[in-house]
Amino acid sequence: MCRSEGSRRRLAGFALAFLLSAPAGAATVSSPQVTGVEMTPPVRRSLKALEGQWLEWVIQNNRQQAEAAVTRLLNTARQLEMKRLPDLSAGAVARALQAAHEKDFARARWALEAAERLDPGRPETAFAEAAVDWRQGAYARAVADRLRAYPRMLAHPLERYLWLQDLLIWSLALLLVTGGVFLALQMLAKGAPLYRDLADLFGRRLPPLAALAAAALALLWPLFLPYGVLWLPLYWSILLWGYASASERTVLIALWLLLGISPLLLEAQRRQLAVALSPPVRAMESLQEHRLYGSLFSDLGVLRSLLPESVAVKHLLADVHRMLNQGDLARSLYRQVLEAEPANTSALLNLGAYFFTKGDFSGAIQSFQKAAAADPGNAAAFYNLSQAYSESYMFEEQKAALQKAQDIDTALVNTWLAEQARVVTVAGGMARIPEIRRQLLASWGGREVRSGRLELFRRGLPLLVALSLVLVALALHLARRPFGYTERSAEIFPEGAVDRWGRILLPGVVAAEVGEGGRAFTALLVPIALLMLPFLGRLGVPIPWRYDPGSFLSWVVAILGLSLYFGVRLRRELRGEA
Amino acid sequence: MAVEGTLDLFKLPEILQLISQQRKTGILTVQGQQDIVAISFLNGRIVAADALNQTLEEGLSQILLKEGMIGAADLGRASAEHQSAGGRLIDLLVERRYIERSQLLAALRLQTFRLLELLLRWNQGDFKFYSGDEVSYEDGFVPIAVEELLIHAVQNAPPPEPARPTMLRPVPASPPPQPAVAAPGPEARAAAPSPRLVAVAKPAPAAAPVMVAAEAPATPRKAKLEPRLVTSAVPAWMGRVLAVLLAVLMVTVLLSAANVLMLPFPWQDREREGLARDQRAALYLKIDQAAKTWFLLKGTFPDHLQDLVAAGLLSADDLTDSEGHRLLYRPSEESYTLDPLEGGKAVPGAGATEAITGNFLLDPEFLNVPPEATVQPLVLLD
Repeated sequence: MCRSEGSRRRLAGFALAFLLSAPAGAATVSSPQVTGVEMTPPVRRSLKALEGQWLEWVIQNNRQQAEAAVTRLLNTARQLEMKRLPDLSAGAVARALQAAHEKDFARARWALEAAERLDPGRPETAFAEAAVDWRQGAYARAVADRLRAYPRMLAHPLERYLWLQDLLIWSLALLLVTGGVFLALQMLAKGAPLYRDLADLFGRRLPPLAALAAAALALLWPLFLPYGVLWLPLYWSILLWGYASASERTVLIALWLLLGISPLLLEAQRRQLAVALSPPVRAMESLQEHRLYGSLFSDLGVLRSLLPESVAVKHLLADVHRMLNQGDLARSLYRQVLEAEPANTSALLNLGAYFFTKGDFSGAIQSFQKAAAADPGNAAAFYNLSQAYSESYMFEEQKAALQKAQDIDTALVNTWLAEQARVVTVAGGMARIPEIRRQLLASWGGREVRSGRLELFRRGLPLLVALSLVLVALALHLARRPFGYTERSAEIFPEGAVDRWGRILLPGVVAAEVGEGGRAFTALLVPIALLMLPFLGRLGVPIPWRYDPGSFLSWVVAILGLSLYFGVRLRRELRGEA
Repeated sequence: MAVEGTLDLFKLPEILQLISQQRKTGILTVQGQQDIVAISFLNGRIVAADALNQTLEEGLSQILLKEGMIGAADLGRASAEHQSAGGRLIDLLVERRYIERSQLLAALRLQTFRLLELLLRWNQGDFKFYSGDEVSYEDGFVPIAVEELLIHAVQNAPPPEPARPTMLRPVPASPPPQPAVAAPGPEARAAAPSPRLVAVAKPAPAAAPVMVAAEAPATPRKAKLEPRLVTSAVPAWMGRVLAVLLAVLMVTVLLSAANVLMLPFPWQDREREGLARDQRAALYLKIDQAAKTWFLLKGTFPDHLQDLVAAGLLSADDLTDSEGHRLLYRPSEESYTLDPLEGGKAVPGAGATEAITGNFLLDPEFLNVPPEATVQPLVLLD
C-alpha cells in the first residue's frame, strides 16, 4: 500500500514537473517516428528556413545575392550548432558543373565558392573546380586543382576509412594475383620437366601417346571440378613443390597461408565496413564534424531504434538536443542517463547547465556539486559551481570553488574567464561515439552469428586447407623422391628474339631461372601492382563521393609507372645488365 | 677493377660461383703452366671461353667432325676456301650452308662446355677477373649457368688422378658420356640446344669438388636411372602452355569475379554474397547521394542513371554492381528503385528502394507534421 502511494506520488510529481517545466511550444514537439528525433518548433523553423534559403540560392543569377544567400544558410545552420551543409555543397558543385557545361563560367565560379563555403575542404569541390578549369581551357590550373583535391580525399573520416579498407582488399587481391602469376612463372620454368616426369611415370605402363595424354589429364583434371579455377593452381603448386628451391617453397607456403587467412581478414573487415556505412554511424560522424545533411535526424532515429536501451545512445541524443537548444528534451535524456550512471560527470554538468540557464541555481548547484564529488579533478565542475554560487550570492563559496578550479587547470579556467563563459558544457555523449560503434558492431555481429561450432569450423576451414596443403605437398614429395625429378633447363626462354623480349616483358624470369623465389615474387609484384591500380576502386566498396573524379589518377600512375618500369628493364637488357 | 689470386687459395668452382652469384659481367683469365683460358661472363653467366693453345675454330672443327655435323671433305674444302677468302671459318661454314647456324651454336656451346670441364680439373695456377660493362660473344649463344656447368662437370668427371696444371686437349680420346647435340631443323631450336643434364646416374667421384649452388633444389636429382620411354616426345613448350593457361585463368577471374579470387573456396558462398551485398550497399549509397543531389536542384529524380553520370555525380562504373550486373533504375515522383539485372531479370533480394522521406531538404512533409499532442498534458493529482 505504501509502495503504491509512493509510486503514485512520484508519477504525479513527474507529470507536474513536466507541465511546469515544459515551454509553450513543447506541446508541438514532433514525433520521433516521423522526424527521427523529437523537434521543437524553433528547430523545425530553422530547418524550414534552410530549405527556403537554399531555393533562394538556386534561383539567384547575381553573385552578391547568391553570396548573401549562402551567408544566411550558414547563419541558420549555426543556430543549430552546425557548421557544414554537405548536401547543399554537393548541390552547388552540381550547379557549377551544369553552368560550366552551359559555358556560364562566371556562375560556375561562384557556385564553386558557395560549395566551398557550405562544406569547406571537400575533395569534390576541388575536383569539380578542375573540371570547370579544363572546360574553360585553363589546363594548368585544372592540374593544380586536381593536385589540391587528392590530399583532401584523405581528410574526411568515412572516406578515408573506406579508402583504407579498399586498399586492404586491393592489397589482398594483388598478393593473390601475384601468387597466381608466380605459379605461372614456376610452371614456365618447371612445367616441361613436370610434364615429362608424369609422362615417364605413365610410360611405364602405357604406350607413349597414351602416356602423354594421361600426363596431360593428370595435370588438368582439377579444371573439371566445381571451382576448378581455384583447385588447379593449388594442385599445381603441390606438384611443383618437388622442383622448387628453398626460397620458392617459402613463397608457396606464404601463398597458401595467405589464401587461408584472407577470408578471415575479409570477414572481419566486412563487419566493420557494414557498420561504417550504416546510417547511424554516418549520422554520428556528421555530428562530430557539425555536418547537417538532409536525413541526419532520420538516421539518428535509426540509431535509437537499433539500440533502444543503450545509455550511450541516450547520452548522445541528449547532447544532440542540447546542441539544437532543445533543453527540455535534453534534460529528460540526461536524467535517464543519470539513472543508469549516477556518477556520469558530463551528464551532471550538462544537466546543471540546463538548470543554470533556466535560472534554477539551487538545482544547478546540486548537479555541479555531484559532478565535483564524482570527479574531483574536473575543473569544469568547480568552475560551473563557482558561477552558480555567484548567481546565488554565495560569494565565499564562489571564491573557493573558483580557486579549486584554477588549482586543477589554471590555463583552462582563465580561458573560460576570458571568454566570459557563464557555464561550461561537456560533449560527453559525443565522446561515447566509439562505444556506440562497438555496440552496433556487437549487435550486427549478433545478427550474423549462426550455429556455434559448425560455423566456426566452416570459417576456419580455409586455414585448415592451407595447412593441409603443406602436408600434402610434403607427402607427395616424399613419395615421389625415390623416382627422382627431371632437372629443368637453365634457361626459361631459348635463344632468339623471344629470349630478350621474354626477359623484358616478364619480370622474375631471371630469378626463376636460378630458383630465387622471393626475388621472383617481388619482381612480379611491382608491375602487377601497377597493372591492378585502376582496379583499386572496383575491388573494394565504392566510396560515396558526391562528385566522382573517376580513376584518372590511377590510370595515369599505372601507365606512367609501367612505361618507366619496362623502359628501365629494356634499357638494362639492351645494356646487358638484366 | 680486377680481382686476382691463385688456385691454391680459391678453387675454380668457388670463383665461378662467386661471379655467378654477384651476376658479374667481365672476363676471367686463368693461367696454368701450359695454357691460358679466358672465360667471358655476362651477368654471371658464361657466354664464351677460349684457350691460348687452341683457337676457337680448331676446337669447333673437332666437335663438328666428332658429332658428324660435317664431313672431313667438306671441312677441308671450307678450310681451303677460308684461307683464300679470309674472315672467320665459322661464318663461312654457315654462309656456304655446310652447317645450319643452330648446329654451329650447339657445337659452340658443347665446345665451351668441354673446355671449361677440362679447366675445372686444374688445381694450380693464377686467376684474374676483369670486370666490365660488356663482353663479346657469338650472337645467339645460349649462356651457360655456372650451376649447370658444375653439375655437368661432376657428372662427367673422370676417375681421380694426381692433379697437374696442364691444359689437356679439348677432345679426349675416349670422352665421358657427353650431352647430345640437338639434331638440326626447326625442332632443334625449340628443344633447347644446350647439353641435357638429366638421366645420368653416376655417383660423384670422391675427389670431385662439392658444388653447392646458391639456391640448389633440396632434392637429389635422378637418384637412379629410369627407362625413358616418352620423354623425347614431350615438347619443351609445354611449360609455356601451362603457364599461359594459368595466367589467363587468373586474369579472367580478376576481371569477371574478383570476389571469387579473395573468397575462393566452394563453401564460402555466404561470405561472397555478404561481400557483394556490402559492396552493393555502398554503391546504392553513392547513387542515392547523387540522385538526391539531382533532386535538390531539379525537384525530381533523374529519368535515367546515365543523367547522373553526365552530370558528373556518378562514374560510368557505377552503373553496374560489383558482380557485373547492370542496374535497372525506375524513378517515380518521390522515390526510385534499383535492381541488379541478371539475364534480363532482377536478382531477387538485391534491389533497393529509396525515397525522399525523412530528408528535411527534400521532403515537404517532413517539417509539416501535425503536432503530436494538441491537448493539455494530463496532470495526475492525489
